[in-house]
Amino acid sequence: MKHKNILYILLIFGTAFRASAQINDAQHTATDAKQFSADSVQFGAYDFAKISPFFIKKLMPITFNSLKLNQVFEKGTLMKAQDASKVSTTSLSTEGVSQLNSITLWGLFSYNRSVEDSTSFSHQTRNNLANPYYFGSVKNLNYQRTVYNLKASASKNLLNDHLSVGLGTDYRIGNHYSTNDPRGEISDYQLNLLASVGYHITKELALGTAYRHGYGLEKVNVAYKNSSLSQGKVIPEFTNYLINGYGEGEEYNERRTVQNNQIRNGFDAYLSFENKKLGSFNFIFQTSREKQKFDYRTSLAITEYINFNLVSENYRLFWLKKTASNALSINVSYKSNTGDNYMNVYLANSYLFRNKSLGTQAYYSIRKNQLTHNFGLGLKQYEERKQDGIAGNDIRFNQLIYSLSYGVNHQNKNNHNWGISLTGLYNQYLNSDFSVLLANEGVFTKNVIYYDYAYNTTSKFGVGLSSDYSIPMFKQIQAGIKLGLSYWRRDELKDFGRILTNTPGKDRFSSNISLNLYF
Amino acid sequence: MKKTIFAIAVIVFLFSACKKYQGDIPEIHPVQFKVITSYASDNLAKALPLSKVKLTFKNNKNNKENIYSTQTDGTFSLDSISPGSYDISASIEISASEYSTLTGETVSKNVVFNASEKARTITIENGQSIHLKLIAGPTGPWVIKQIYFSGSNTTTGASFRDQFIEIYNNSDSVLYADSLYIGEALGIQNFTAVNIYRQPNSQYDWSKAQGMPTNIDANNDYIYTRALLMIPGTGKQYPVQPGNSIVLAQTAVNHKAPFTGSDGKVIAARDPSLTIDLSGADFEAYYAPFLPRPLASDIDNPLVPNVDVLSYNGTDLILETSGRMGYIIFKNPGTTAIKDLPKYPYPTIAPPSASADRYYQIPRSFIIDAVETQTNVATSRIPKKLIASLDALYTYVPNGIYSSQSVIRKTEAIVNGRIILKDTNNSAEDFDFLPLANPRGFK
Repeated sequence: MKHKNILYILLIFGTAFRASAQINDAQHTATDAKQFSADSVQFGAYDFAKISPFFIKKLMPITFNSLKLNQVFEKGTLMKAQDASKVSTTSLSTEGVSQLNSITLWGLFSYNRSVEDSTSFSHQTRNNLANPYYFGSVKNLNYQRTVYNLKASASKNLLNDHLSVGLGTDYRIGNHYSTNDPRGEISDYQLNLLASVGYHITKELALGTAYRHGYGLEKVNVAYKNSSLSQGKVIPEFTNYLINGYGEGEEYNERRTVQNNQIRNGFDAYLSFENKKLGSFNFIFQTSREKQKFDYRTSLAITEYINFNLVSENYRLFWLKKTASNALSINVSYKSNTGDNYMNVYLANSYLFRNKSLGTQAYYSIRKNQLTHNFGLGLKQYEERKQDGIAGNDIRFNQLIYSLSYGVNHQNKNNHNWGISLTGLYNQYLNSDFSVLLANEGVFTKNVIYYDYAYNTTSKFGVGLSSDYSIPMFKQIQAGIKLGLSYWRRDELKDFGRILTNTPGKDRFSSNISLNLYF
Repeated sequence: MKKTIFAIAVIVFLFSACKKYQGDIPEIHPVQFKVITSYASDNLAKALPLSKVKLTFKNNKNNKENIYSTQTDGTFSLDSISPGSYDISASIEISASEYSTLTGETVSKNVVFNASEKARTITIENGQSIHLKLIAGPTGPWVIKQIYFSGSNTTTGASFRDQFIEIYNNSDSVLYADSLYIGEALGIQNFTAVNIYRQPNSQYDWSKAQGMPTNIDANNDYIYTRALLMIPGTGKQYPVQPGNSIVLAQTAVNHKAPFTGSDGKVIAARDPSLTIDLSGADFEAYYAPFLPRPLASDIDNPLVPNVDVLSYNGTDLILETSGRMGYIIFKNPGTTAIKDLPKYPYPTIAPPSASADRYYQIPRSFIIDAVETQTNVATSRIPKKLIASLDALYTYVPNGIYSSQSVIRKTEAIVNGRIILKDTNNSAEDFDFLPLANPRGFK
């Protein structure tokens, strides 16, 4: 029923965009949309503006509509312990910008269906990565996930464009289940709402703020189809563990359900400064506090397990400078997530999670004749620390990720468009701390903690290649096909004095093919 | 320009107001913990050593065991142990010669002293300690060798029908099984009962049972039995050679093959490899004669003698399949017939009714061997039924309920071809498991 409702919303959405897109020169619009998507700088600005309605009038084009059907295939065991060694994802997404009188609308709908092969110790969604409380087993599972996502933002200017008000919503619903024992089933949904207000203090400077409120729910159940396996630990790898933090799990063959209720609140602060000489500076500060309450529910009572608090901060500066034929964007961001749990049994916290990333990306686009050249350079430092007080584990790693890209796009007079891009990536291991009590070494420690530490403390390099080709179709759309390949390979693993039962593989390959429509 | 500066100042203020509340380290962290061991007997404490007492810490969360040894003063300090629930046991084995030298008391076998605390919660505070008092228990000629309580798969195996208990002659001389008693030790089966008197360790407080004499130690000097069975015989009718055993089956048939139940229907295990052949058992429990509605699978094998039933639970000798039970064997050294021993009801807070079940009170001094079993699921384990001198801890089958696994006593030595089984009165040490129960098998 929920899925049907979403489809109705999608139809209404699509109709609205189509109606607004029916301008006289439909073909011209489609071609512009394609060119816009091929311009790394401008598309980067568009992506930035999706964060809040405060920016959509400033950084989004007046109209842009696209529809994408994408198929991704990934394979390889150069991955984190709880990832899948093989993933096949099919997605359909449509998004666009439109004007409805004086209101600017942006919307996105996406449908993702992925099939994961060989994922272990992870009865989780892929959206709650700091999650400290979940079920898992040594047994590799095949997971199927279906996620629908609907996002929309609207912005309107008032008081002679001095005051801008906006609303945003982000709704996601997902279903995740494994097809072999121990069978996990996770249903989740998230609803996030945002209300923003901005004011132009001067012609060049605008300030804004927003309040965010969100709610989420995850319901997890683990069961066995094979009754032989459900009647105890016939084969140890089928044993279900409850992971609580970042240490050995507890064997948990009864009451294998848990519910996670999430509430988050936050506020944003915005600054926008636009000057013909200096370009456009856009700054965002976001902070949110999320509380996740894990409990066990029966018809008789609710047993509270733990609480998990997550504080997120995000600083982002986006600078865009355009000239007649060139465009430059620089994006500097700092993001941190800090989480701690609270155990009702001990009346204290036992688990701390922290990650932070500081990064910058620069894109430079040159339009010359019928060619658009895109140069990209990125540098990001990422640090993560997990501390489990009960287990006595304290693990930290620090990485530096470089990226360098070049792409070229050509559009001829018939609006036939082709493009190719090449990206080089390097993930450099910088430093780490490792403290794990040998006395607590068990299956989770060996299969997840040691494995992930080995993965995170080796340097990796990768290369990505993509190409696309599009042509006008039906006079109103630009239709294209895009192919992408990427490959990652690691260096030697660091010896940290522990015996690994399983090690990260040497490489990982991924490919994607997508059909893209711009209109 | 002023407006711009003011606006930026406001934003900077807002950012600095965002206070973080997490600390740098978790509030819960590994703590220091001290174990102090001593002998329960003051006299023995003066003579016997306290160094190298073996300490076992088993984490109930993940069943991981760590072993340590005490220093010469009988203590051991752990600098870093994770908070949680642990089964902590202490054990020291003193050779017969050393024991005789130190105490002046001549003994023929090594003497093992045990002490334990089950499910000890180590909290988040530093400086905690535990005092374990070592005590030696009986090591008799009979031992409980194998208990197959888990049964086999309910759909493809024989469910609980194929359960058995095996009792072994661990001595060097012929023993007679006649009038050997086998009992299930009664105890609380949960943590939550509120309508009953309980001891600090959550076990029943039998001293509060209706009619219990006040001049006895009802909780420590006696065991209360649920099922109580006796091997029949004239006194020397059932000899058991050294290194041999007797098998008491719930139903002494070949469970691998179909058989006809008392209701005329065929009972069969779809996967015979999951179950066992008990047609060669020495004795069986046959409850049908005194039950109004006997169990269909409880048929009488005329070739296998039936045990005498003094008290019973359920419709057959159905052992607790998850394992939460204690088992005792004993002979009657006294003059009072066992069937004439006093019986008491549960120590309920409300006075029991006249028709309430009553249970035999067996003196601890009668007991030759005792074994406590528990479930493999740590969170479902219940308070200990047997005190440390009978069984310091407990044993269990790792794969749990209906897994076809049995607990079996370990082989300690083979002397002139006779297998001597390990008996230190700590089943956590003395027992292992078989992946498929095997009557008369060894490990």
